[in-house]
Amino acid sequence: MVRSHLQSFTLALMCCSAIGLVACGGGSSSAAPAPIAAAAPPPAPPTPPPAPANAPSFSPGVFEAADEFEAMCETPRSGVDSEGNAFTDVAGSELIEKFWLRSWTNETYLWNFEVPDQDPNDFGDRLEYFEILRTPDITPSGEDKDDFHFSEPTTEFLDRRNSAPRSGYGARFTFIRSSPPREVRVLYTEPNSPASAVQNGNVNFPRGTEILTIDGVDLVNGSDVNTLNDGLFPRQAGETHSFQVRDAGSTQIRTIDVTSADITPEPVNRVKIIDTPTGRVGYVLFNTFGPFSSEASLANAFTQLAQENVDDLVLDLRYNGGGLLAVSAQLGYMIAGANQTRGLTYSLQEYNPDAGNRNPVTGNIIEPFPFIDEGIGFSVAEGTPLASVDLPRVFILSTEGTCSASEALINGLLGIDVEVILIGDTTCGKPYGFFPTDNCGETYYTIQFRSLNEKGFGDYSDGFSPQDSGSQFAEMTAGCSAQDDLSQELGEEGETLLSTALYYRENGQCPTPLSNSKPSAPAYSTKRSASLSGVSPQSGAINTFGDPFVTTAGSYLDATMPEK
Amino acid sequence: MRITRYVALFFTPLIMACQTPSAAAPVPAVLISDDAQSVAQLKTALAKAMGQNSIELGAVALTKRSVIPVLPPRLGDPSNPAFNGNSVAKPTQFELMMDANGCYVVNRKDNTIHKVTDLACRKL
Repeated sequence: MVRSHLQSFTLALMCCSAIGLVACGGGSSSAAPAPIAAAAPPPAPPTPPPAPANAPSFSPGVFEAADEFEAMCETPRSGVDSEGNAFTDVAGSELIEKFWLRSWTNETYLWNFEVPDQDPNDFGDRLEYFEILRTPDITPSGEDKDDFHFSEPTTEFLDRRNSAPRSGYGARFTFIRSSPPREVRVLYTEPNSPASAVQNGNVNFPRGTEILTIDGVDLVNGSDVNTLNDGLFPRQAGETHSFQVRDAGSTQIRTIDVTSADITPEPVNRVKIIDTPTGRVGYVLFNTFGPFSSEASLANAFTQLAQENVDDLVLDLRYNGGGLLAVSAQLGYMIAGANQTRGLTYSLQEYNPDAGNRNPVTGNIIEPFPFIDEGIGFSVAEGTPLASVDLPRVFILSTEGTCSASEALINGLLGIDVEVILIGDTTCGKPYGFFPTDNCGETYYTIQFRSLNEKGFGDYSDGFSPQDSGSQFAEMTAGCSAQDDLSQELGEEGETLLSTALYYRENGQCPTPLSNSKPSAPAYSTKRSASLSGVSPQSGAINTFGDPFVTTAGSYLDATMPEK
Repeated sequence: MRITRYVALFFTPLIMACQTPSAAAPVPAVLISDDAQSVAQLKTALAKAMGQNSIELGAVALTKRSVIPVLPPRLGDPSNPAFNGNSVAKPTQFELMMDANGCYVVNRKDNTIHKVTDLACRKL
């Protein structure tokens, strides 16, 4: 499932790359077309690079420096990568690549002492060997202790980070059932996007809308998945597709034509002030710490909230899978303010015991992230003071899609005794991070640090959970369990998670659970452990309907909620 | 002893005069113009300083501020931080400086100095 997920995700990119390659492939010096000729003899295969004179040998518990094996490749690359940086590969062998993985894991993996030291000669290819270079331990809940161990071809890694913006409608969809009878609904839309545009008095894709047909093909039971995928995930801007949809709570079917566009997601999707008899409540739907624009987006939102003198804050992180820790540290400051954060640590990265006081990947001295009170240059000029609302507590709306830097925010605030009231579902449980690292054309992800708060706490690999959830292993916080509610727009006071937060705020306790007949989003799985290499774009498209997943149209997100 | 004191009194003003900031002393600087050519020259120098083929600048008014943030590599699809949801990446901060020989940039983390060729800048 993980593999298919990435297949979907990378489909558009790979297609674009392929087009680019074809376009560049004709760069011959000959202006005239080549005449049709008899089959020419096949070109001689390139001379394989010479094997190194001294193949490394395995000695249990003895590790050479990873540098000694770095970029010594079975298939060395030459020239420059897609970002124009020169390859440094030299002729080596797959065995050397495996020895590099072994040493690199020993030097940088968070739990390096727990990895069984096994002879690279006993394994097939490099990916097979990489797969076992992680801790075999399990958590108290029975999950793999390390469920975030994967790799992908470096070409895909580079394509993905250089591909924004993406074509789509600006709607994020959820697959409640991915096999017939399928159910696909809208989670939310981007502002000023085709999805949020109005036709005949109706928003094209309001939250909760069910997609019934695409370009005449029955989405619920149809078998033409190519047409369905092509319509749901347009490959470029300007494509018009026809949809039959049914809004949440309605029996009426609407037919709409929607044209795709280049979509740049807005990190802060909406800000709202809710006046209550007991004060002003700010609501912020914040969907990603990923893009650099998240810094300015949050700074603007909190400038508004500070000007409005809010008494409480509901921060909607239910779909926020994380991103930049520095922006998360800024958000912590903007919530808690100077008096509660001055001189305190937001997040300290803990590396393996061999690392000492240095980051074993970069070699830099390990420095904690403080609560950051000014712009740092992502999209707010360095040194620009940030506004803050100076609150002693915050309501955070969560699902299992609330992950990584979002959880670091929860942990960072708890570390300075800001009360975090969690409303929704258990968060994903990823206090870990990594530095994606290329070697010989494969980019490897292995857990290299854990994020600790001011109190030195970082044990939330089973997530944070509201105290009434009954969760056995998650880290419990104040709050109420509630299901994501697709029947109302995000930010509407009747929407279940927000209304639960407002109820708790008024009454100091959770509302009595009601039987829920409203459409709700599925539980997400967020773990990733399989190798992600070697997927084909076409199979990815087919598999879009093979697994339940949440996606932004045109962004090809993971088949499950994107992890961390 | 008294002679020593006189010598000190005589020379101290001269020494202080030598320490007075002059036009040659390094000072923070800004670009005179942020036209495409100037920005391209600056980015070329910063890319070289970073050991990369190219770089992107963060939020900065190049004609008003001397601190120049260079963005880290993007995380990928900004709507999907699936591959690095706990990224410690931050912009690398450089400061544009000038002295009698012209403009240069200083990496504020390690204080390394990197020349910028043919860039028109002025004292901040």
